[in-house]
Order: sequence, then structure tokens, then C-alpha cells
Amino acid sequence: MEITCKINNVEKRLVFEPHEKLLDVLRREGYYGVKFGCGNGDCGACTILVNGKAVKSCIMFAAQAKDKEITTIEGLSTPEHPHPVQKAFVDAGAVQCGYCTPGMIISAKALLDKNPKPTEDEIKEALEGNLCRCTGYVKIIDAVKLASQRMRGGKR
Amino acid sequence: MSKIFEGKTVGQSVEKIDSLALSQGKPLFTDDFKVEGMLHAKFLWSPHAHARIKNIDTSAAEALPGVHAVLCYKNVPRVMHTTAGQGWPEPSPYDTTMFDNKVRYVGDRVAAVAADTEEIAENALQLIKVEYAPLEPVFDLEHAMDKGAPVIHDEPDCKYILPLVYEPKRNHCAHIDIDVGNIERGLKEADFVIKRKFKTHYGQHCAMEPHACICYFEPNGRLVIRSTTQVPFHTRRIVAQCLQIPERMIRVIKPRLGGGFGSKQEILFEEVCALLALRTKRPVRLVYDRKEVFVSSRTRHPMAFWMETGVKKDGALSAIKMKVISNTGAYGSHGMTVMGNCCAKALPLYRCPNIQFIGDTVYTNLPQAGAFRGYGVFQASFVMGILMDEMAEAVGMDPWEFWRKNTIREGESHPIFEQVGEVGKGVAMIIESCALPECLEKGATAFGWKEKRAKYKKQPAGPIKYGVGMACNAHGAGVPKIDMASAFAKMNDDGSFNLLISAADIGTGSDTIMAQIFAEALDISIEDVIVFSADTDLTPFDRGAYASGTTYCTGMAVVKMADKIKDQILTVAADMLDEPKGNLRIENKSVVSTKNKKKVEFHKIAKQSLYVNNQFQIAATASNATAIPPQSYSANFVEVAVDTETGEVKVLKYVVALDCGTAINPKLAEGQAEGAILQAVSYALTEQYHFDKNGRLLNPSFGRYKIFSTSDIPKIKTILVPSYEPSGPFGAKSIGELCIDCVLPAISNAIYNAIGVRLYETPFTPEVVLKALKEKQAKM
Amino acid sequence: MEFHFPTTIKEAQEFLQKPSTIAVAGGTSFTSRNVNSLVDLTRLGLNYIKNGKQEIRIGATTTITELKESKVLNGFAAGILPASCEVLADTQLRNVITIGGNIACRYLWANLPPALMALDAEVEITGRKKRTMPIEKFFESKLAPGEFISEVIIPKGSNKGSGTFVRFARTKVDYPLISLAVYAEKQNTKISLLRVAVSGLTPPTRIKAIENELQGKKIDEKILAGAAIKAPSQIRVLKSYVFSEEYLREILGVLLTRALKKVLMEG
Repeated sequence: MEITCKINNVEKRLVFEPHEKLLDVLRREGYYGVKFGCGNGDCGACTILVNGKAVKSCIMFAAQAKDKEITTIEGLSTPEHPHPVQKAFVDAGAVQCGYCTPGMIISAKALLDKNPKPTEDEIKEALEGNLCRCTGYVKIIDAVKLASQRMRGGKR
Repeated sequence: MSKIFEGKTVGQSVEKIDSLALSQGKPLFTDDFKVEGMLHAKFLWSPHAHARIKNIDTSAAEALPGVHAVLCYKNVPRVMHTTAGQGWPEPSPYDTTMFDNKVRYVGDRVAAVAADTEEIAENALQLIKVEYAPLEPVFDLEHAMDKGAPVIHDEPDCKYILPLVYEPKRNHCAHIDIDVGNIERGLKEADFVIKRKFKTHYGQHCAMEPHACICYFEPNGRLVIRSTTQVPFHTRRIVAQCLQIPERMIRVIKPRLGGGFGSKQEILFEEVCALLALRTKRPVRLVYDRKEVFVSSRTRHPMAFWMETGVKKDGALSAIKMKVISNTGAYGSHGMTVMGNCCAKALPLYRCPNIQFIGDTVYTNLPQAGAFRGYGVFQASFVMGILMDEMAEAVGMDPWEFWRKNTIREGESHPIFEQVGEVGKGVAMIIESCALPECLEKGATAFGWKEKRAKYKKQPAGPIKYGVGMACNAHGAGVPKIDMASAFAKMNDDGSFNLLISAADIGTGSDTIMAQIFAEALDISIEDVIVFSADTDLTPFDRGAYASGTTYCTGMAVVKMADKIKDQILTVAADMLDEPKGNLRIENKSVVSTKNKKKVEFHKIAKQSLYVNNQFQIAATASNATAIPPQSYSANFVEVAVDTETGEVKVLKYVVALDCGTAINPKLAEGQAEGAILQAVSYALTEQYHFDKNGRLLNPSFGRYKIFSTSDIPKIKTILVPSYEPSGPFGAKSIGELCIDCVLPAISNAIYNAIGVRLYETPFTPEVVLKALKEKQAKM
Repeated sequence: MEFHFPTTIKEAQEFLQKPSTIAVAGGTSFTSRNVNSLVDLTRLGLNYIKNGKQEIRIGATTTITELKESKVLNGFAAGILPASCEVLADTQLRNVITIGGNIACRYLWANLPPALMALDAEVEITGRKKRTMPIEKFFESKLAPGEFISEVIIPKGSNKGSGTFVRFARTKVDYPLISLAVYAEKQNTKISLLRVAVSGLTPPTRIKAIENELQGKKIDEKILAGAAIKAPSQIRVLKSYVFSEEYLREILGVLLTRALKKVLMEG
């Protein structure tokens, strides 16, 4: 079957079998930043934005992307300008193996778009669906706080 | 106190060189890669814990359109090997062949298919007809060696290639005996003897990236293996062995890797992927799903310990008697070495003159254990950490005082170092760097140990009780006399360098660390170092990422190599400046004279050497083989809250003060500590393998096997306490595994402090805690 | 397999009447591929929370996040429904799981059924005809071909009581082993209304035994403890490999005592 949707602001026509999940279709289309971690909706490595909301693409039917606006990690920055959340992850030392990172950043961006000044508990809640085994989450939470500060024009 | 190194690049939290690309989701991992004509492979797994395969009929699967090859024991050479990613000769038994006519655990290999799509491959698996003759399984590690127990490795051709104890007909995979001093005398001299049994459980690494491998061919027919391997060179060697082709026909590439923790220190399935590629003459992609990672990759070694420790009334340790049985599962990779480390790497912490170690490893019909962060020191630190707490209590000392009194100091040595290494005899060593006393001070102060101990003598009303516990450990860097790493660098026109290493950056940041070390050695900035890592065709030998050895072993190779580069630079500069070489030194990307104002920049030296006069490529290779395993240390403090009506344990606060020598990159070092700590907290409380009575894993998913997410974490504080290790690069030791070891005992000790119940078996689930609490109340 | 995107209720019904067809909203629970067609219900305009005089009407494809953040629901009946949403799965899943799906999937670990039972909610089912039934009845009945949950109705009645929602699980986002909702109203010092609902270790159930025992009584700790202790022994506990039956019953007793105490003695 075939649907149209927007991916990172670009109109796309996707062709796939009806039973296929969006994660597999996105990766086939070359969006390698969307990761396969479990295929079960448990780990969040596949997190993307659908109409601005964080969603796990491995348990979403590709068909349900019809007429939706999808944002993947690739859509967050240009080569010259990383998104402030990406830069904050780098600066805070929140990237170790990097496999959970795209999903984390997408979840963090969704949070900050909705709530520019989250408390630590709100940050934890926003990221509780993204598993990480390398960092213990400590510097990831630091990174989101840093991004929040910077995006509000605050000082480091 | 030894000096501390403060460098321009070393000791700075420079940006991890791949972190921006990773945060942008660039296609850097094994499976972010497509080759024209790539086939997809899938395994057929055993539904039985123990069975002979009487027959396999793969004809229907082979006939399915889109299927290109089906492998099973009938059409694959029988080459006994170990899957353990260890140096040759491997200290693990050669008890595995690619496909056997016997299965030894639920999830063991039966067959593999390569097809046009994953879906076709999966359909083909359904068409493979297997006739099993089920055999009686054995699951209990305490009974695996019983007379009459089912024999798991009854094949005649399994063996070690080293002279090690091996009795597969008794399911006896390994045995080590160590005697230091006189254990009987030590126990007699003790005023208090604590005798306890401990048990640790199955756990999985849960790296976010599942195991993956893509095999393809170069135009001249050489095989390229692109895989999630911590050990590219061991992979090349063992794949060559299994496929019976020369090593020079194989190239192994390790891209960015999404976490290993030891689960990828194996030749897990590269040989099957490679064989499928060779048979089909097509590229082949083989990726585990998450269930397969839980069941059919590797796990922690569950262990049972029988301990007897003796202490004199003045608080001095007099005896440690450790008997352990380690469960290696159906195959023995890392079976001996993990068990041996319970003594070799864990016990040199303790100032105890009499130590006896009796270690056995057994086979069971359960998932295969392998390397996992901590590697025996984790399990042994659990038991010792609690026993130290019990002995302190027996003699009436605060645990903090007791640890300080009984742990090794700088300038001291320990007989264990010489008696036992990871493989066979060890290496005598004097401790040249040990900041443990300072770790104890700083950690206790930051945590508020004294205050909290006093505060929790009086518990608040209500069901929640609070407690604090502590534990210390040592964890040595690398495997002495066995580890070797190399590094190569060459200079470019503009004064920058290519640094080529095979150290496997598995998220640890070793690429960045080596760049920092190199930049420090040549007084250049890290921007001038272009790191390329882990391609067996291009980068010189490195044993790979394990045993907390990369910073220490590969780092020193980089230092040695940088020395050679420095010499070449000075030679060219001497010629350019017309100055004796002895008057020159390196400073800030230039060479300057110590006698006058003469100076020449690196980029000018480079152009001179490449184009102008006496041309040669400024470049060097160096290797480093480690001679000793310098110890890193940590003092760990934890605060818990226990709900005495439900048994739930919540870790509130965790403070670790650690000595890894010089922290090359403090932020990365903290990251290692924080990650290791949380990994062990969930193992202590919520991670558990649940098997049914037939040995099938019931919960092979993140949904059912619980690791922590952001909403579960305690407050974690890491304090880096520097020391200086003379044998390490700029004084550095290691940190990869250090901070996982003490979490279990510290939590158990804290639970005891809170509710007066000691837990000797993991995990400390709410049901276990509540049961123990009730048993205690019943006794009162 | 076919995928359909109906934009009217009638279209949806027609598709759903075909053999081997399943409705999809959030789609998070899907594992099976053995169906002929899937019908996406999220484009029917069933995403709303309508605050009427007599009742609150929630469209079946309203998401957990929307329920959690709803001002209307947070101010109603001690906010039990949003409370059950806060501890339901994680952020990404809350963004797509719908109230209809959380009921229709009949999962033991679903949080909403006990919360809705404590609110005496009704489920509206749309098929050839529309029919409405109390949510308890839904779990005892089946949907006919062509039928789907279209709305959840929460009677307003009196809603100034106290309530709580608690769950017992290994980690914050884990499937709950026990989900418990309690709602109560007092008149003078006596219980005028009490609803207790549980799921997780048992299918979603109102614990009528406790409700009957405490109804009309003036509460003290002794009475509470007595009621809380009896109930767990009367419930059918389903097997779990995580914890033993005895342990789960004991925890249910503890949670019940705590929840009842919180609602009846502190609110």
C-alpha cells in the first residue's frame, strides 16, 4: 500500500506492506538515526515525533503515518547548526555509545517544545520511556536542563 | 601521596569526538549499512534444554523461493572452538562447533537460513523439520556435578588447548585451587569466624544495540566482516579457524557500537554469517532481535559461594576461605576466567595473610554465560562486601574503620598477585598508586556517613525504614602478561596526525581518550588528532575492549609511539634549525630551542619532511604488553529506604569516591561510574531471569525483564580522587568495571542497617525482603 | 492485509463487519499479522472530553496524555482518572494509547478499567445500534462484529469525594502487578459512597465485599484493617512468575489498607 506524509518537512510517498511498522519503513528509506532496540515498544530507541508528539515508531503501523508530520533525528539539525538539545547532549557528556541518543533527544525536544522550563521530575517523566544502559541517565538529565537553560536564553 | 598529573588535554573533559555525529543520528552503527544484493539470515533455535537431534530435514526450507542457503550440522564442518573473545591460546574450552547434532539449552542453535528478506527467512525456519530425542536436563549448579547427572558435553572432541582441569563427563568445566599462608591456622587464630552461603543470579547486559553482523566481499574475493564486536582481532582469528580459511582472507571492521559490557566480547555469530556469505556468494546480514539477545547471546555467571572468614578482636583479618561454584550455562566461554577472577582480581584488596580459594565451574542446560562487566570481581565483591560488614559488627567497629584497616595500601604487595593471574600464574606487584584511604575520607564526608549512621539509629515511625551501607573494592587493569595493544600515527602536511588504533570504542570513548593521550604527549590540540579505529586491515593489533585494559594498555602503546614520533620531529627540526637535537623540545605544536629563541612549527616540519629534504614520512608504530595489573579502587556509600510492609527497597542516594589514577577525561570517567552503578542497582533489585521448569526463559524482553529508566534512579554522586600510577599513561589506570562491583554489597549492608536483615542471595526483590523480615520477626 | 482509514462512523462499522478485521487506535498492542484488515479509528473525530451537566463524555480515541492533562478530569472525583494515567506506561505510549483501546484490549495490567470502575463509568458501544453498559458489564460480555467502543461516559452525580489510585510494579513504567482505585464520599462522618476496584493480579473487579462492609459506617483504623484483610483472600489471583500468589495477596491487603486509610481517614 501507499501513503503520503511529511518527513522532516519534506513530502514523502511511502510504499510498504500493510502490516509493516513505521520503524522498518523509515530505516528502509534511509533514516538510520531511528534505531531498532527491541521492536516491542519497550526501549524508546525508535522514538520519533508524529505531529509534534513523541511516539515509538516500532509499534506504530507505517499506515498510521498517513497525512501526518513526522520528525526524525535527522530533521533536527543542519550540518552547520546542531539543534540546541543535540549540542547540550554533547556538552554535558550525555553521549556514550550513542545508540539511545537520537530517541532521547527527540523525547527531550518534545518536552521542551511543550514545557520550556521543566522541573527535574518533569524531565524524568518525559524520558522514562527511553532506556539507556551506558550513562545511568545522570548526564542525560543534566543535558536536558542545560538545553532548557540555553533555549530560554539563560546563561550556562 | 604520589604526585598528581595535570595536563593540557589529559585531565580535561574534552568533547567526545564522536558525540556530535551520534547526537545527529548519523548512520554509524553496524546495521546502518546496506550492500547491494544483501541477504538476511535467521537462526532456528532449540525448544529443548537438552536433546539429541536425530535428524534434520531442510529440503522444504531450501526449496522455498527466496531462500539461498540453509546450514545445519549436516553441511557445516565440525570445528571445535571457543566463542570467547580472548587471546590465543584461549583459556576457555573448545566445546562449541558452529552447528551440532545436539542441543544444550532452550535457545541453542539448530540451523540458520539466508534469504532475500527477513520474512522469507522466518517462513523458511518454519519449514525445517527437526526430530529431537529429548534428554534429561540439569539446571541446578549445585547438582550439576552429582554422580549420575546428565552429561551435557559428552562429545569426545571437546577440550582445552591449555593444560587446565577439565572433566566434561562430570559437567565440570574448570577448577582452580589457590592457597596463601595457612588457612586452618588463620581460622584458628580468629576470634570470630563468619560462615555464610551466598548466591548470585542470571542477568543480562542489556546493551541498547542488539548484536549485528554484515558480511560482504571485496572485489578480490576477501571476506569483510562488519560487526558489533568488542574484539576484532579475536573475531578474525576464530572465524578463520571455524571456516578453515586463512586469516589473511578476512577483514574485520568494528563501526560505532551501541554498548557491550562484555556481551560482545564473543565471536557470537560472525562465523555463521560469514559461512552463509561464502556459500551463497552474496552479502549476508544477521541481526539479533531483543529476545535472541536475552536468550541466545551471553549472560552473567550465576554463582554460589560457601565462605568462611576470620577476624581477630582487634579487627585484623586473619582468614578468607572462599569456595565457589560458577554456572557457565551450556557452553564454557569465559567459564574458567570469570571464576578465577573471584580470587585473582577481587581478593588482593584485603590485608589477609591466609587465603584459600577453591573454585569450580559447571555446565548446566541454561543460557550461556560469558564476559560481563565485573567478571567475577562483581560476584566476589558481593560476598566479601557483606562479610566485611559482618566482621566489623562482630568486633564492634564501624564498617568505615574496618575497611580502612583491612585494605591494601600504597607500597604494599599481596601474595595473590603472584600466585594467580587471570590465566595460570600471576605477576608479583607492589602497589604504586592507591588513593583508597582518601576515597574513604572524601566519600564518607560527601555522603554524610557518620551523620547518617547516627541518624538511623533511631528510625521514624511508620512502615518506611532507612539505612546506609558501604563497601570498597579493587579492580585491576587488564590481564597482565597477556594483553597487548599497538598504535600507529603519521604526520600530515598541516601538522595534524592520523592516529590508527584497534582499541574498540564501545561507547566508552576510547577513541577520544587515545587522542587526548597522543595530543598531550606531543603538546598539540585534540583537533589535530584524527582517530581511526578498529579495522583489522588498517589498524595495528589490539586485544580489544575488555578487562578494563584499554586506557592502561592501549594508552601506553600510544605514549610509546608518540615518543618515537617526537624523536623524528626533533630530528627534522634539528636539521631545519641547525641546532643540536639535545637543545630542542616540543612546545605547543612547535619545536623550540632551550638555549635560544629558535622555533619551527609542526606544519613546517611536516612539509620539510614530506617534500623538501631527506624526505620521509614521520610515522611510528609501538606496542605495549602489560606487565602488571595496577589496581583501581573505590569506596561506595548508599542510602536506602525499605518499605517494611511490602518489602520494596528504594535506593535514595549513592556516592562513590574512586581512584583510577589520572582520569584522562573526567566527564567520561564519571559517565563510566554512573552507568556501572545504575546497571548494578537494577540487577540488585529488579532484574531477574525467570525460567519455567523446562528451562525456557519466560521474560526475554525489556517489558518483562526490568532495568531502570529515568523515573527509577537514585541520586548518584561521583568523586574522582586522583593518584598517579607510574606504569600507566600519564598516571592512568582503569575505570570500565570498577564501579559495578560494590553496589550489591553496599545495598545489602544498607538493608541490614535499615531493618536488621542480611540478604545473602540476589536479587533483593520485595518478596525476598518481606520474607526475610518476617522470618526475623518470627524469631524474636 | 488491508488498512482502512474511515472518516465516518458508518464507514468504520462497515469495515469492521467484514471477517477477520480488527480495530486499531494507538496500535501499541499489536503483534498478530493474521488478520485480513485493520481499521484505523483515530480519524473519526472520537477524540474529545465533553464536560456536560450530568456527565463527562470522553471519546474513545482520546489519548492517555490528553486524559492526564485534562483540567476537567483533574478537578473531578479527586482526579482519579488522571492519576491512573500518570502511572500508565511511559510518555511515548501515553501519547498514543487511547481510553477505548485500554478498555477493549482487556489486558489485566490496564490502569483505566479499575479507575473507571471507581467512577461508575459506562461504555458506549457503536454497532448497528448504539448500546451503553456499565464498564463491569463490558468485561463480562463480547463485542459483536462491526462493533467498537465509541465513548466512555462518567456520571457526574456527586464528585466531591476523595480518591486515590495506586499501583504495584517493579519499576515506574513496568506493567502493574496490582492496580487499585478507591473513591469515597462521606456524609457527616459516615461513608455514604464507596467504590473499590482492582486489576492486575485479577481481572478488573469491583471489590463489593469491602464496599458493602464499610458502607454507612464511621471509619476507624480497626474497621479498616478488618475489611482490608478479608478482601485479598476472596479474590481470584492469577498466576504470575514474578511473585508468588501469597505475596501478591499480602501486598493487595497492604495497598488496600493504605488506600482506604488515605481516602477515608485523611481526605
